Amino acid sequence: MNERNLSLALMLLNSLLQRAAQVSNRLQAGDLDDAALDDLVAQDEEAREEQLLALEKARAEGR
Amino acid sequence: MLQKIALMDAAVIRGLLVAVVGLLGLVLSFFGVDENLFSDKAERVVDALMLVLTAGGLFWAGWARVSLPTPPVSDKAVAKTVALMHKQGGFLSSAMLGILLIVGALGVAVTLTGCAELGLQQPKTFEERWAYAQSQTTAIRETSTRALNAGLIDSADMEYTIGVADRSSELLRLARTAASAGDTKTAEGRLQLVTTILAELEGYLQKRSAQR
Repeated sequence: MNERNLSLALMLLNSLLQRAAQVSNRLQAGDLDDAALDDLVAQDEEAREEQLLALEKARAEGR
Repeated sequence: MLQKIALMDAAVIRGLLVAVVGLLGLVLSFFGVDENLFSDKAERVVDALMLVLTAGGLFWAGWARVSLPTPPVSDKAVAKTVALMHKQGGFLSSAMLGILLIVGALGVAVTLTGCAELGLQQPKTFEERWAYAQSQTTAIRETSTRALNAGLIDSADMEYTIGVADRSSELLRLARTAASAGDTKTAEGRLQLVTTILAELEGYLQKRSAQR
């Protein structure tokens, strides 16, 4: 348990809640149709691309 | 290197001294010292002032301890503070960190199941639960990217995270396919598996960042 651990916990919580709020807003608006679900998949693919880019950069920097 | 400060520069000590002055006044009053100096009415006023002084001093000391920096005032305190920083990686106590993490874990749990208290719409249908699970997979991907860029995890951790998140995304795709085909039981089972995988992945990221 240290500050790094806390930073990651807060980072994770922030991201989880932001994403959940996005879904919740769509539910409240009655807007969660197939197109919205496809949009969530597209966002996940974008996040995956960013993971791969960050990994490539980290490897290049020897991290 | 952590520097100690003079005893009288510490706001906590100053506040306690003010409280002690007031308390001494009250003790003297208890033994009747002020009866020789003041009238009855003045004696009550002086007692009230001493009480206010004591309470004010204690409040000041408490406020300073909570709100202001509290550098050590002795070499022994310097050594103990440095040892504590080394042990914890900072001033944050393990107990407070534990509370924060529990609050965080609760936040994640209620997010995954839906929680009106947080202002989040509670999922009722499979599609709604699926949408939350998909969004949480994306959130973990985002967090791992930020964590890698911030040096909280390394490349090997990221490779592992991508692999597990990919399995989660694949299971979500299969769950949606099963639901479309009317196989609700399989769809719900896969969704449940995703929730388990995500919880384990969150735990892994926490553990790895703590070990670095």
